[in-house]
Amino acid sequence: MKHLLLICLLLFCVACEENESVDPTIMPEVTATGANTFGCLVDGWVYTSGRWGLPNAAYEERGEDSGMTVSAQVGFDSYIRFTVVAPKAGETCPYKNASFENQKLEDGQVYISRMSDGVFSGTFEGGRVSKGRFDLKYKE
Amino acid sequence: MKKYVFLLGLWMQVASVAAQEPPVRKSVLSVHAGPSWYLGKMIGITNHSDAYRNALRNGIAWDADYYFLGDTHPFDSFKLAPGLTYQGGRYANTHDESSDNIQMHYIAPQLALFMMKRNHHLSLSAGAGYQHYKDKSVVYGKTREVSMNKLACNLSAGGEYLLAPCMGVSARLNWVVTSSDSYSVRYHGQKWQVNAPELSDGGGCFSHLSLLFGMNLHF
Repeated sequence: MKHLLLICLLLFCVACEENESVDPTIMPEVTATGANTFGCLVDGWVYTSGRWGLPNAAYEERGEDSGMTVSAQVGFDSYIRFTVVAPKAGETCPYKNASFENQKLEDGQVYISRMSDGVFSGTFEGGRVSKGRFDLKYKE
Repeated sequence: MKKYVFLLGLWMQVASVAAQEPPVRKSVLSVHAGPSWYLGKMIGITNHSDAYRNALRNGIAWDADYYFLGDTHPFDSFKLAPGLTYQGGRYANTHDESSDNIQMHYIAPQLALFMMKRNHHLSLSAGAGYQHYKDKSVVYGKTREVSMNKLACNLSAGGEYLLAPCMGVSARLNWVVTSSDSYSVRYHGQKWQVNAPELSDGGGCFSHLSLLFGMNLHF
């Protein structure tokens, strides 16, 4: 039992590891190189990923809700997620199912700057969210 | 005849007083201000483009110094003197979405070597002390504060021209250098420690070089 508790504690510590070289108050540049960056303003405040893990993008087939779901951890226990509906490179597409810290956010618009060679990048905004940008790697 | 002897004696007294050394002034207090240049790594700033950083390197500085010269300092000689220096500096720049306002305050005991001439003095001083660093930046209209207080050291060279026995004009070249691989940032009610900041290539040495002009008071 003691060994099990120790292993759980170690796993917990590893899972919570912060990358202290990342400044969470600096918005990343708008890029399309697969840099694994994510940032936006929510109510005017900067939220970025990188310090608590890399953001990710995954395509999900769910009928009407199919699309690319972008997820980024922007705090110790805080996430921003949304699903881009029918994303296409060079086009502006809607995003929905947006959430921030378990709060539902308004739907918005995403401009997809790149969706090729395993790179999914673009800029987004909607409602409380503005100046959003992401540059992610995904499995095609 | 007695009148001429009296006048001769009086003239000799006056000449004797004029030929004497001026009274020794033990201390010198000086204040200066002038342009300053930020050299080395820029750490914790809001924008890392070359154009932004280059513009942020130009600032202003000011200082106040005190040195104790002691009782005797004959002219055409060298004098070792302890002292104290304070230097402040400010560097600021603005971008579309952000701005930085860096303020530094450095205080340190000094050891100076003075070369005393009749009408002018030259000095070389060095010391080690503490530098208080704060960047009151703004990101998308919201305040962000970076702190990076560290030990620092300085090297200074100066020259003074005496306008009167108790006062002179002076110029000074100051170089204050420090090093940091971390800073703390306060934003939106939270505080983070950033170690080996990746946007600043892990941090490193930075310094400010100032050319200052001002006045000295001897007392």
